[in-house]
Amino acid sequence: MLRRKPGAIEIKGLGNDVFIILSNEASFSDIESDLINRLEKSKSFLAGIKIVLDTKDRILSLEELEKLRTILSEKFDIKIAFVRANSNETKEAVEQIGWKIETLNQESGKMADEMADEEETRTIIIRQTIRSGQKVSYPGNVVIIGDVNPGGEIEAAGDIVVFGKLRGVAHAGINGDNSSEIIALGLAPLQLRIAGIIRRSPDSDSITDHVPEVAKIKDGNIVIENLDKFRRGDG
Amino acid sequence: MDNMPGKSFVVTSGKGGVGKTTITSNLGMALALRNKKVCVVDADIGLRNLDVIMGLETRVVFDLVQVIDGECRLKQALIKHKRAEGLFLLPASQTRSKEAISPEQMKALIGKLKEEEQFDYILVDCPAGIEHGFKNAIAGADEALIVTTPEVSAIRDADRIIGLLQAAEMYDPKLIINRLSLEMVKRKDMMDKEDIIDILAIELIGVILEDEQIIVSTNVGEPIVLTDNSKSSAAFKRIARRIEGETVPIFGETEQEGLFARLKKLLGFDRKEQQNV
Repeated sequence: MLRRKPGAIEIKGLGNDVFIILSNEASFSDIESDLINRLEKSKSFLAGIKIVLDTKDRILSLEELEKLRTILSEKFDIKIAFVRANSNETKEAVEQIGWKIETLNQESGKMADEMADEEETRTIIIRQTIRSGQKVSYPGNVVIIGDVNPGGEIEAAGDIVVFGKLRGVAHAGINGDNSSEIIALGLAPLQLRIAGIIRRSPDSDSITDHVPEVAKIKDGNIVIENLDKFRRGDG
Repeated sequence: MDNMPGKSFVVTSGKGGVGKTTITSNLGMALALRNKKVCVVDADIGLRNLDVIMGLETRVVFDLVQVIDGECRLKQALIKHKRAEGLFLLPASQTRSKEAISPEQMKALIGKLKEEEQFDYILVDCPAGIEHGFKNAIAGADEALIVTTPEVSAIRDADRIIGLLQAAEMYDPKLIINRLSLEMVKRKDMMDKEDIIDILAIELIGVILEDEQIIVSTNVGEPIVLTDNSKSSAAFKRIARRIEGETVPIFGETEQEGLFARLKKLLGFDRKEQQNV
């Protein structure tokens, strides 16, 4: 038998709810086909019930959501209780399509706690250049393998690491964690934010060869240090 | 005659005024000069321009919206270019708005151009912006050509467009840099092509240098590709060859025309060095 590649979707029961969780990495067409396959198998007990759609960090367009709706409600008669989404673009599209976005009082308190615990230490790895107009928002650490272009934005409750050039806006420690850091192979951001502190790039646009650097809070300011120095100083 | 299905390209940029329409008309002409059957489609409904730049304004009778609404047949709306056998224009409506058509209708129309009219290439001139008009224009496209100028704002918008194309599952757009001034690059007053590619990180398919002649040619409605001794004309022809799958090296764009080069040109030794833009 052929080994199945890691699923593009996951169907899980959590508490009283059934979750359909979309993978961050799989292509949209894989999600579509996987969804149809899996639902075909569990049709009998899923039909007519309400499920929670967890889009994780995927950026879904209106068209993609429409395709999902066609599959879920028209083909399999599954109703969406609400959608859980980390990407703001997806949230906007979800609102346009008329589905409910998860708000805190919609999920049971216990589950929210469990999720929060798990998420604080969680790290997401994104292998993609974040372009102008794209935003990654995550309640843990974010690792980008690619560049963050001007106009792109990263938000993380924990640290942000960019294996590439950071030219956009990065906000680490969005929930107020002062010890959060922003690390990039090339640090040339429009703006850096850590917890409540903002530092913008100097107005003189000196284009230099960028070296790996780390930004962190020291004495109430964001300071930027060479990554090498930082490592030697620590060790 | 082969039975290869035609290929559709959307020419897009996000920002307005970077040369989408000029590039669409000249690439269309360059491909037609290579004996291909080419249709250029003006998707900028309400702000019709492509017909003017191609010098076909007086021949417009029916438009794209009328074809979609079934008020005329597709064949009736296609305007054959006066200077090229295989080049046709499908004009936009000037009186309707972009909301008059849907992406699905546009997709069906492009399919019809490929199947019924047997076009080898379809170039869709996309309106500026990222709204409804943009979504219509990319709907039927197999591939995207992104146009930018060496300006920060144009590059920013191009980057946004590349992201939106990814969301629409178009992953491999090609880049055309328009209006590069070698003088200014040399003075470090303008970004060079390497700087632009470093940010956008997509494949470069052509560079068109700053050229006053282009303004003259668009004003008289004669694609510059029809002019023989023009740098820009040669650049468009090279892009056409790359679209057709030929490997034409991109080098020498940033070479300044120095005394030595001018001397060589004078003596007739300029064959490749000067023209490989």
